[in-house]
Amino acid sequence: MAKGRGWWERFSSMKTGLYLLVAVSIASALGTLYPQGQVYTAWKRFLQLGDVYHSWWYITLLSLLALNLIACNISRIKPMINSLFHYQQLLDAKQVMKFKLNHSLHLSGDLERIKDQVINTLSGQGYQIWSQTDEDTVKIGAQKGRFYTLGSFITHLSFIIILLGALYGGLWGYKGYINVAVGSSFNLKQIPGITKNSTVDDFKIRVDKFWLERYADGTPSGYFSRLTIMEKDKVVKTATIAVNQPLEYRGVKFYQTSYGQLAQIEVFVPESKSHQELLGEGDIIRILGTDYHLLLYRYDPPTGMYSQLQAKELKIIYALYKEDKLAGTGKLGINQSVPVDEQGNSFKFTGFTPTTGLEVKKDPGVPVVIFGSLLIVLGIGMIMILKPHKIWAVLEKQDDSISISLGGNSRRHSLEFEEEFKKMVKELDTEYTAT
Amino acid sequence: MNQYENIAFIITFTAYSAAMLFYVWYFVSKRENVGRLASITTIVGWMANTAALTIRSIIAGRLPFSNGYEFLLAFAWGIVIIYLWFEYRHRLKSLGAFVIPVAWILLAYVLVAIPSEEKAVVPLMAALRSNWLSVHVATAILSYGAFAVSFGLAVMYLIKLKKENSGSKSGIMSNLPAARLLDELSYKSITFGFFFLALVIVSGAIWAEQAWGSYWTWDPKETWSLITWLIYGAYLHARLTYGWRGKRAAVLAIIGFIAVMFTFFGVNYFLAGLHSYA
Repeated sequence: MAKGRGWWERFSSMKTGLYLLVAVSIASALGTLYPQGQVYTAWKRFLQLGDVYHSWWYITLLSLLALNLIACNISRIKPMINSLFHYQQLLDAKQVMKFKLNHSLHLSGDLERIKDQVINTLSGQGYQIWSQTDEDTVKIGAQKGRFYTLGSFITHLSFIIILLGALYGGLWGYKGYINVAVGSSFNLKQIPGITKNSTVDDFKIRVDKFWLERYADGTPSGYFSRLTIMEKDKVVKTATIAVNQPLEYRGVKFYQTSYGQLAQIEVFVPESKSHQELLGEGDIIRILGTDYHLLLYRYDPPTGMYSQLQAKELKIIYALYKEDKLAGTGKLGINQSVPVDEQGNSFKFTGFTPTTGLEVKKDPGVPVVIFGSLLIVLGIGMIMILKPHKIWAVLEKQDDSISISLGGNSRRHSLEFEEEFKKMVKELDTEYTAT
Repeated sequence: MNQYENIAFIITFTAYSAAMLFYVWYFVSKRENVGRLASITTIVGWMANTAALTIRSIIAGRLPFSNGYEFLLAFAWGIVIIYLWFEYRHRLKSLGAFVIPVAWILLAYVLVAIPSEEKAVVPLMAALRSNWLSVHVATAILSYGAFAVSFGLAVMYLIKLKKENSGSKSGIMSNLPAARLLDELSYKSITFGFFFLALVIVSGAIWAEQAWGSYWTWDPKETWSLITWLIYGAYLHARLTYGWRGKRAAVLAIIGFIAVMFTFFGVNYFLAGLHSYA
């Protein structure tokens, strides 16, 4: 680091970038060592180890890296433009011989002919060539992989694009999960987890059907839900979604994530019509007009995600509370009922309704992130394939011979470039001897 | 496991075992005949490896990319084909003594640690039924294979450097190519692996957006592949701007490959996540 440089130069240097890269790697690793989503105490809580990737220090590190990248990229714009448009530099013999890789030789013959030979040799290796001829000197410049610097620029720029896309999606997107009973409908505001729902996405989704397909051996091959989108009670779209096949409507995507069932509980209240409630494991309802609460403790036997086929054999285990005291508990099969009190209130377990688990999200940043990702692949591909080799040659007429000075450099693959350079020198030498 | 597939697997493993011994023998003895034998057994092993993968594809009716066993078989295949290309292109026979053992260990792991019921052909689970599976895994094979070769080159470089410094010009070492060449080839294969790892991550992200609803969820597998990529990214930057070549670059290349192995094995054994197939 040169003395007298300001903090900004220091911050925007590649060295800082490297340190930040290492820091981000270590921080990312940390997040995989501490299970995410858990609640920690004391210093672990302060460091937000339960949510490392959204913690203040991780975001700070990422922002610093992004700033460093932006600064690095800005400082690269000029050299990149030069490399694209103002690359046709020419050097004199002294400058050419200053390259670490250089060679000089003397050939006797006609200046024009030797110039042609040099150009032929260079273009034979795939170089792009420019030259300038004076009375008795010829200056030649040659390069390969002109777009190498552009590739590097694109790669670094695409990081910034991806981060911006992620930020955009994070600020204006939302995500939530909902279990929906087949046959019922919901709107986005009902989805737990969606807090910043914009009023623009105001439409209803009805779940018409859920089904499961199986391979011959019985293992599930796919889960499907048929959804109908309704705007102001008018059907606008019907589609079947599956794993790997989400439905997109007005930027909101619906994913098939899970499935299950809810117990149907019919509640009888004297002198009024009975009504049906749908309860999942752990759900509590109040029996209307009484002090009683009904808790559906769990299904019996306990169901995993994939046991819907045995739904008919399933029972439920419930608990009844009066205010905060346990008033009764039991296990119910289909169509068994339980009286709640002397007034004639009762409930009945009538069976299961299948549900589908949908993940609902809106992320306007996705196209930006995908664009950035493809750009990264393009940029790295350019860097991988292109060879940023440059060679300069100066031919000078001296008395009865021509002196040739050759020199060049490459930003990478120095050994390969060295071999190529030596090969060309040899070719020039033997070609001349041969004629 | 199908009987023919089993035979192909055994031939593959036997051939790679023999090739490994021949390469080490060649490395020590410099006998051209042994070197030739090493190459031939490697090619035979690779053909049997290809056969095993082909048989599995035919039985399963899809590419063999869906569980730990299938991926290990494909991973070994990728390492060997990239190695063979390097051997052919750069006349680097002694490299085999350092790269073939990596492929061998993967298959030995299959023999020792994967029970036969996990090798059975099972239908794809719903989340894996996507065209992205082939792109994602094929690029991973190429990327991991290239990193394995760069690892072998880096180890070779360090051995060579030690001997060069101690001044011994005779014996084993005269059989190694110049340290500079090893260094540059390691760099080249890392560039190749880095490009393909970018494709692995990008294809994985696009696929995850379709299957899981999010292109990035900081799943341990995702995170560790990113860490691996960042380590190699640091390698490339350190090399280009600080001229980190030679010893420091070799050490970084070895760390990078350890990260590759951790991403593949370690994550599955130590960390739980969505990406639990392989």
